[in-house]
Amino acid sequence: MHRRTILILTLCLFMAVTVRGQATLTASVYAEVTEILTASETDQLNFGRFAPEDEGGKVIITPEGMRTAQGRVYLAHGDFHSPGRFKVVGIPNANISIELPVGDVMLSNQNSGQYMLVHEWVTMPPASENVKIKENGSLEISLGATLTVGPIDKNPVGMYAGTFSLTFAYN
Amino acid sequence: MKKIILLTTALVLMVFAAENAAAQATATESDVPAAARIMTILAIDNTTTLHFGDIVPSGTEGTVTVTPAGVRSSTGGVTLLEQVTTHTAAVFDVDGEENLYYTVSLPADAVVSLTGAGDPMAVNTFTHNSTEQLDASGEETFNVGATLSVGINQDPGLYEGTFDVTVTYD
Repeated sequence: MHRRTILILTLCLFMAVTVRGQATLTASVYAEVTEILTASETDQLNFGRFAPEDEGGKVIITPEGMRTAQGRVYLAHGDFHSPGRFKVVGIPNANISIELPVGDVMLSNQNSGQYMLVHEWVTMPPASENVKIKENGSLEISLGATLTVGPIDKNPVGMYAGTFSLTFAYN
Repeated sequence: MKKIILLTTALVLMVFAAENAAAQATATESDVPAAARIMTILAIDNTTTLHFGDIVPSGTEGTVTVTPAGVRSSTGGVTLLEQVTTHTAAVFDVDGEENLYYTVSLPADAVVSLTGAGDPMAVNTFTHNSTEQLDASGEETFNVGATLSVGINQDPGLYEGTFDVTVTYD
């Protein structure tokens, strides 16, 4: 009879300790909302003035702004030609990708309906490399390309214009 | 009639009990074994913080979910990045009595929100991967994940908040 009484008391003790067997912790939780990537064009890609002769050729502008001609194209000196320049704004030190136009982009003349093709797009920094936004949160990107010019009868004198798309994205 | 019988039985039992008490007052027995075991206090520690990582908002609201396994996914107009910070599930270490079962309690929905540069962001659907049993060493590590709601064009910046985790012996 005594032993039964002791056993019951022991069980009660267990129950009391068990009720206090609880622990609560306050933990932290975070999220980092980042800036949306934006891009703007600061200089238009401009192949400048040139004169195709009877066979045509190519006009090449590097991202650094150097212009050269191939084939039978005469470059007019002293005029303004320019690589495309773009400003990308986003997270400092973030890696981004540059997606260049795929294939040829057409520059057309509104009067004659004739056109020239732009291709071989090149950027500085190169799109194939790891491109990173600078510490100040922006990055200048220059764009060069190659313009194929037909002979003078195919590309008569005039202004040729077109548009293309560059896509910048966080990696 | 039945009621009367029951009442009688109760009275008899009470008398027995009184007799037993009287018997204990006069009997003596030495070296009676007695035992009590004080259990290890249940303790919890947060070793890794729940972090939803880098989030790019847009004109469409969305959500970001980090599972207890640390897998991150999104819905709606949210883009996930890993540029500034790394996303992590929360990790908790529990210490207590070996092999005992316990229960993990996490916040209900509409309780936790993160504050920062813009509107508060709600954190809901907390989940864990605990087996809710301590191992032979009296330990268990488990992870916690949750789902974050991101607003339309949510202002950039670091958002932070807290949540309570409670462990209780079953």
